[in-house]
Amino acid sequence: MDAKLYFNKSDKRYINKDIEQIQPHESSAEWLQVEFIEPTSIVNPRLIFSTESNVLQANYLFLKDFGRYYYINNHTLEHGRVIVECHVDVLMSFSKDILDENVVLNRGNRDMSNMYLNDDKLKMYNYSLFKTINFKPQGNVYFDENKEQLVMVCSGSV
Amino acid sequence: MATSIRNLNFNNGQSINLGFVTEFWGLSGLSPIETVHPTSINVNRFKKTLEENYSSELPNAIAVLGQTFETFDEANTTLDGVAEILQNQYWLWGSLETGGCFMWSAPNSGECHFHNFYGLYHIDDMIQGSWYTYYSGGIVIPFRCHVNDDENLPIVDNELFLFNANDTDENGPVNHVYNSQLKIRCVDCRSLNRYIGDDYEWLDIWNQNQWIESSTSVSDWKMHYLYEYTTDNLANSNPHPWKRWKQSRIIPNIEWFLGIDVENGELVGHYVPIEESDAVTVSDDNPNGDSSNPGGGDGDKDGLGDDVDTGDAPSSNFLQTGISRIYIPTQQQMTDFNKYIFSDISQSAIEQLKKMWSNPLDYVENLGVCRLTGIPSSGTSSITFGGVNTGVSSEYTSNAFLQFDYRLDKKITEYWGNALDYANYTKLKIYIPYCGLYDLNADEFMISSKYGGCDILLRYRVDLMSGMCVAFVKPERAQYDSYYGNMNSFMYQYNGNIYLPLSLTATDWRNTYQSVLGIAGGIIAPSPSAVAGMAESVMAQKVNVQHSGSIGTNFGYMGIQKPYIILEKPSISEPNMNKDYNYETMYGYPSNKLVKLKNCKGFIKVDDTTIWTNTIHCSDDEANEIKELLTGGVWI
Repeated sequence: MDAKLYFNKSDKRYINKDIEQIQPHESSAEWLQVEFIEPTSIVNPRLIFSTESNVLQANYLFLKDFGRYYYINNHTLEHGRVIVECHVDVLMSFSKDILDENVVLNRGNRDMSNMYLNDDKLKMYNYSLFKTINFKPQGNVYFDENKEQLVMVCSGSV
Repeated sequence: MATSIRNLNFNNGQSINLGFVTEFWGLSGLSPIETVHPTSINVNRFKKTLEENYSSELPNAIAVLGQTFETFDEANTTLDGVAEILQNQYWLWGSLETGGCFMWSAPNSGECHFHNFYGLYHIDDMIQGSWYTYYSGGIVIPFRCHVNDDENLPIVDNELFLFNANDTDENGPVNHVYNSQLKIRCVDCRSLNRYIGDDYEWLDIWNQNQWIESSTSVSDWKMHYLYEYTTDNLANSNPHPWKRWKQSRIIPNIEWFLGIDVENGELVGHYVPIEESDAVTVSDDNPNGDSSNPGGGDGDKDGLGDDVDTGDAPSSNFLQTGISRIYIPTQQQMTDFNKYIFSDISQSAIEQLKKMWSNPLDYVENLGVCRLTGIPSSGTSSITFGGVNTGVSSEYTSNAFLQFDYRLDKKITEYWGNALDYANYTKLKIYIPYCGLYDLNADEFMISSKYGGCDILLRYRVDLMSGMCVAFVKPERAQYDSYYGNMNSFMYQYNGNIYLPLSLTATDWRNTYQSVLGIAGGIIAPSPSAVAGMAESVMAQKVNVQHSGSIGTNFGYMGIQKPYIILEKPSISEPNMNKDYNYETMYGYPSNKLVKLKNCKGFIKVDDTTIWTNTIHCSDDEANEIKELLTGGVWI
């Protein structure tokens, strides 16, 4: 089966990974020939690489026949060969289909946001910010702390 | 009218002289396509030109800088071009009388991925055009700016300097801004209703009054600004290194930038991101949408109601009958009045008899002191009570009910621009002199500065007969959406008493009169016992005037005389992050929007029930893992 080895620089949570191909020793072939350890799983395949494949430098690979990208979980050296345990990277492998999905976002960047939803991620200090704002009178009648106005209401004032 | 800015400068070396010609600029290379003299153009032509040249890429924003706009002539509107938009909404121009600057945004296809400036109008000299009765002093700048998907583009290709004055002298580039009153208004597209024209969907800005005017409340806006530049002395045409005047660089983060403010010779550029949700959103969570039925109910979602007003204060016509009179004496006049009350044999016998046979307190219905200034006087007359003219003159008022208003010194605006600005996170209290300190519902008073903020009208209605008052509280904020409803009603009312009662008790007066009667005995000469018995009988019928129960009034009189509000807001703690690793990139913001994932960038978390994996060609285990990852959060 044809494979390509990569060094993945991205966190697993990136849909599209930043990967750099690793060439085998003394070879410029685009594809590497690898063998499965049978029976194999398409999700968690185990592959056999030669030591010349430079697979020890890789943490990521692509299997042409499966059409999937894989994380390399472990390398095991055995009798001059390298057994590689992999797990499929579903995000990168199906990125085109995933990106065509119409979904409802729980969280997203600013352009996707509705800031008036409760945000359970926000951390708040245990103190508050205070602001006071005065009112200002809109006419000539208002309460004046410097004023003392007597008012007397009398009846029989005719 | 003077031109506000002389040149519009592009970083690629091209510039537009704003004072005389208007040029349209194409998408590729910003090359001029058409030159139009301002006296012959109108907005309609602008749109037609764009249709001819950019049939699939209309500008999604228009800025108008300038001075005063006046009424648009409805009679001359047609169903063509932008005039189509204005039909039935001609009065919009009237809303631009201050500042005369605005921006509208008209996203239509969502396919905007360019940072380009589309065109510019100088409408300084446009009068009596085909579509307008009159307007003056403005620059209409339709433009299109949006995310550039290619992050590898050199920054210089993304730079666009809006509203930049530029010129050259023997020493190199210099800048000039010739008008110190330049303002800009803009509006957030998200709240706008849509208007469907023949070919395009426009946003209905005309019914909006939530304009942001950058010349006011600057400090409240900063949360919304991305950049703020300040320079000085621009009005004097002093040369400055032109880079100092850089106003805005359109950067690839799906935000629109706009703004400039020149006032009193100071230039302050404000850049307000105007988010265009349609460009990336299939639909949003606006419950006005008819594509879903949130909550399952079949209500009509009509949030519009009626404004509740206090109406006018009650009339005081009954005072004209002479039943009562409200005197507003000075201290000296009150002193004279007291002297009269306590007068003895120097007064005439008839008056003394009147005093003897009836206690004056029967006719003094209320006596108090308050801190109210400006009680309107209806004239001056002699204080008369119980038919006795004291001869002591005093001003009086014919207004039994007084009504006066307060408004906030500074409007309430959002602080964080998110849910934390609302109840129960944010608390709002109001102190109303003579009534007390009360909690208000922050939701009713909170609104973004984008929509003008919220004022509070505090209206007092005082009964001068008793000192009782009612204080009404009304949030005054823009009515901007049928869903959010109107909030222009008096929502609260409280009562209190503004008088500090003076100690005119029946006991005091009884003591006074007992002594007076004793002195008067020699004048009238009845038997002392008879007089005493008669006086006791009269006194026994007195209403005991009690001014108790007003202890709150005393507190009010001694308390703070200015109403105010107290806003308590939560304080957000954020990790010490930088440009690349910040809250947005690490956590994202709450969304609840239906989107196509390819239109997203950065961190996302997806609602699991909305992930349909049947379109993904994978095994079930893989599909489950995809769901798990998308709901846990991934980066695109």
